[in-house]
Amino acid sequence: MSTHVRLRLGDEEYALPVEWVSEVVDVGVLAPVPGAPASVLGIRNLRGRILPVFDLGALLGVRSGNERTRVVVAGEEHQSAGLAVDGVSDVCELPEPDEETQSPFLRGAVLADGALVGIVDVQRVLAALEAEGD
Amino acid sequence: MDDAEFLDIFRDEANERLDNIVDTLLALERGDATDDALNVLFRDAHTIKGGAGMLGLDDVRSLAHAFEDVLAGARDSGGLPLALVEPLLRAADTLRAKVAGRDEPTAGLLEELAHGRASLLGKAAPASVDEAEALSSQRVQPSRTVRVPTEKVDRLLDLVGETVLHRRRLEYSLGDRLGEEVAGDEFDIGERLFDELKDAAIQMRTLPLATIIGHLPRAVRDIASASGKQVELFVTGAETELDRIILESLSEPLAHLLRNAVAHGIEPPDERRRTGKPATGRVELRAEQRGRQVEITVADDGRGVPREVLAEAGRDGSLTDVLTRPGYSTAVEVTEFAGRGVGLDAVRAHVETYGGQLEIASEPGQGTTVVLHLPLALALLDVLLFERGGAPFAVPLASVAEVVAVEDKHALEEQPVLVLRGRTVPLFDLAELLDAEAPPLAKTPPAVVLNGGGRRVALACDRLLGEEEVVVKPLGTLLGRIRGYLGASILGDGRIALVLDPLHLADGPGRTRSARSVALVPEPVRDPKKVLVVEDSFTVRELQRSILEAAGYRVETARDGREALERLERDPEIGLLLTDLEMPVMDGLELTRAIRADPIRASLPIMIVTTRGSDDDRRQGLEAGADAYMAKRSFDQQALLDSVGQLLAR
Repeated sequence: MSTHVRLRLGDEEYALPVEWVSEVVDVGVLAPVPGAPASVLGIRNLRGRILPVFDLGALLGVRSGNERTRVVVAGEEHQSAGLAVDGVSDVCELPEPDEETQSPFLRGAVLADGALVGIVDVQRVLAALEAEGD
Repeated sequence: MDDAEFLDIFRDEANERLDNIVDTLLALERGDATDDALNVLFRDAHTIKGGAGMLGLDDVRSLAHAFEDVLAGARDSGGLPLALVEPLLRAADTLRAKVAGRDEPTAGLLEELAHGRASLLGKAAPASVDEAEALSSQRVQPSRTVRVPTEKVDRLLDLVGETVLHRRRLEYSLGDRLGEEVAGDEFDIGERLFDELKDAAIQMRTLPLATIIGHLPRAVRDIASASGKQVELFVTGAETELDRIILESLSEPLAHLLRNAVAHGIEPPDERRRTGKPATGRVELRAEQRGRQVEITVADDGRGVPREVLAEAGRDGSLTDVLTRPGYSTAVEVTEFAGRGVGLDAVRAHVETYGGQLEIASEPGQGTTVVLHLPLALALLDVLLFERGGAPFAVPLASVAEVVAVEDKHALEEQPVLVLRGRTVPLFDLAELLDAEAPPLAKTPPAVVLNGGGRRVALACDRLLGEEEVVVKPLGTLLGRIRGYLGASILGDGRIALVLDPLHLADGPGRTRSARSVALVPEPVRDPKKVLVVEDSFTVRELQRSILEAAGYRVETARDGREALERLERDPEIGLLLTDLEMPVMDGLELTRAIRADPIRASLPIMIVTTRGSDDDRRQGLEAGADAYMAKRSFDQQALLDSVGQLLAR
């Protein structure tokens, strides 16, 4: 079991290992960045830092018309990304993923409280976002 | 600290020591080394060996050990033969590669060094005695330097930048009170302290040029010997300091300029003798601080640029412009060294990216001088701010040629051009250039004329916001490779301005075509409404001001009814009045009646906020013409903002 931040994207549920999450903030005011890859929603002023905010749904291929309301700040200090999601539901203990998934951005999935929860591979996500900028 | 951090520290230190080693070896070869040179070399090698041993980098340790052995031998035998300089230089290169984590074979080198040592001692190489012991008595002074991770220094500068913003907000909110003696004096003291803090923080992020030119004498020597030339490099002002970020990126352009000087500038020895010059050419690298700029000069006493080129420069702008045309080269033939790396156009682009300038002068037969004018510090940049589609943008002030109103506009092949004093400048709508969506421009919009890489381009925008000194923050590793931006800055109102890279803008559109078009701001933003707060109590006045400002309103204040009327007279933008009842000079009821009696302002929404909360007071206020009445007793922020919102929406 390890601690995860659970979040919603459309009708689906995902979770990020808590050690990869530094905080969760409102979407706030996003300044658009012309020329940025499609997954970039904009940049945000996070207490004087410039935080790039990406649409996690677009990356995972979740089509949902919902407005992204929350931003999960993930990554390490020198390379953090805001991942916009529909909402954050819980911080909870989840077992190691035992369901296999096809997505390169998931470490697998678990069944918890009757829901299927995809475990996001933050390192892979960050690597993909970095590669997208090329 | 974990191993990775130790490793970083070791790398920094080892690289510094290796720079020192190469310098000292070259000095020995030239014959102008200090008497202490062998000891210095020994100490440097010994330090590297020690660190490598601690971190378990056995390859590095054994190579440094062999290096040390040769030096010990040289010291014992009374000097280092010049024949050994070459293998030691190669050993230094290999050490550098290994320290950087690259895998390079060392076996051959180790054998060569062992032979070197054997030849010094005239016998087969035994294991060396521990010279470290012998040296410990002459150890260097304990260091008075503290190593600080660069992120910490960057954070400090970030905070300084935020203080800039805070001071601007403070200045704004103090407003008229800055005229009062005490407040004004205190503000001035703060201003001075802040300037000192800023300078100190900037200095922490600057490093001497010496930190990046360690390998250059070696490079010059290699290029010269490969092209059969004799060249001596003179370095002055290596202690001149520059912003770390600029410095780190300067290494390549400087190497290129020196390569140019040796490969294209300096003539072969016999040609030099024929023209009455000393056989050994002279290349100079000079750095000097001038005000808030640093000048770095690379000069040679070679053949200079051909007369045809100078003539072309005379007809066609400056020599700098001619020589920095993309792909331009003065190379008669491409040699191993000349064809490599970046061209002068790239050097210029580089310098201009950081808000600097490149200047080239040349005299046929006498030589060429290239001067890089660079800002001392990059983090704080003077920019021009402007707005397009509601989003703020900035460009380095150094690259702004002028600001004009778009009046004399023409087009060829649908590319609009602006005519300025008889010359044309390509004109772009900034939004279009960035491939972003924004409402159409006004009929005669303002345009910012930029110099980028020798080309000029005019950017039309909605309005100018003025000049400001801002902190430029990088977009980070995830967005850093999007071309066209130097970074972003957070403005006084919390908004983010993208800092545009003039060089990429000058390339025109097409840069971002592959990306999707983004709307700069989804809906047009209107100027926030302005509220006049009339209140004699300082505390209440400032409380109301901060609540309203936090909600995005612009706020003016007055201390009594008379002052309020004067403000209204001067400022037609005020859309709502918030007033107390009891005030000196003219109270709230009188003020309300006066406004209602004035035909121009009779419809101005008025809200009374007072401690007098009885029904009678309320009736009086409403009879005088107020639109809303709020008792301070029941005062809560949300209720105030709701009422303000309702009144302004009418």
